[in-house]
Amino acid sequence: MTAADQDLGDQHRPVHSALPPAAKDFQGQRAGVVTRCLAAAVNLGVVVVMLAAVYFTVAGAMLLWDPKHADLPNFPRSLAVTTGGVLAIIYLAASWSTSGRTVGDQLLGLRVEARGGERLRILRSLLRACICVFFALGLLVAAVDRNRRSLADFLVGSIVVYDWSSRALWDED
Amino acid sequence: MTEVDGDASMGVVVVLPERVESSVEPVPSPAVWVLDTSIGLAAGGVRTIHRGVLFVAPGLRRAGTLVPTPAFLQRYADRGLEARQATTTMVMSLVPRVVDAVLDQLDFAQIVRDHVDIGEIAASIDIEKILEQVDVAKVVEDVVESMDLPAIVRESSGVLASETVRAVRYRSVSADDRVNQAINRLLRRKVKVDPQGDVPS
Repeated sequence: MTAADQDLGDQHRPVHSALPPAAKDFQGQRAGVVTRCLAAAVNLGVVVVMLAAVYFTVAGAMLLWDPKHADLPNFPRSLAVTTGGVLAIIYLAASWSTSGRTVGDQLLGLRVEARGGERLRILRSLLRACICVFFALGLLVAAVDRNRRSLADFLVGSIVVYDWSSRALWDED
Repeated sequence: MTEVDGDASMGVVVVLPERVESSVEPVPSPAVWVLDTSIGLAAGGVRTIHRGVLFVAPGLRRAGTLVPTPAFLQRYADRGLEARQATTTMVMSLVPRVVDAVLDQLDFAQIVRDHVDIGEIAASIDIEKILEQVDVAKVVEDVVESMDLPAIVRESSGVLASETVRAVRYRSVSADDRVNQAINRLLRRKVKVDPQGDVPS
């Protein structure tokens, strides 16, 4: 295996025994742009659901506060976008700094970690989340980069790898 | 006496024996008769000697304490003691071998099958009474504790989830590879062919 391959395929982590043999070959290797976009789409859906939950919670509170006005509140779009952005940043940062996986990552079998394979700390996770939210198209950089790094990966020093195991990566720590 | 046969009015009464089968026992042959007689005589002799010893033993014990034992008698006594101990040792060493040999010849499973009514024994067992004495809840609790149930649930749900999304994951991984190859061709990058099918750089 060459240095470039080694850089692309970080196979230092134990492979889960329940994995199918065909999947073991690429565990720990850098994930490609298609999988990452699918995971991002799932994450977007999660954020939309969270936003809807916040909206209905606020609407319910307003209904309890003033039962005479039973209509659903109509918030300005900028407020919805801002709230959604904040929710997305909190959700992404919390996921990456704890398990290294968002719901989308879990579904697609991905894990976000530092270049050395360790867990991303909270500040780096926050920075990465901000970059992913404000420069979402930076993900497409992973399509052309030789080592499949997105803009956020370049700036934060993170990597995204295939990891289909169901257990937490840092159990042994 | 169980049965009375005959004509009572005639004053003749025939009494039948209760155990008819005892009357048809075969007469032993002379050789067996001699053997039985010998055994009976021997047993009677041993019994008589035993009684005689029991009778004279207290007197002998007293006499032994008062009169010194002659030397020649003591020699015989010593020899007798040695012979008795040797015989005892030999018998004790032989008994386990004999018992082993006998047990080897016996098929206990067949003996039980032939002579024991297992169904009857099973029918006599009161399962409910036994179960009353067993703390089933405690047993179940111990079993559940010994199994790592959360881990099993986690594993099985993980397997189910992977069954569901595995196809999507495989497709997305192969799509990653195809996109990567297309970009490499577009940018005219050199593509390394990995024999293990790893993602090309």
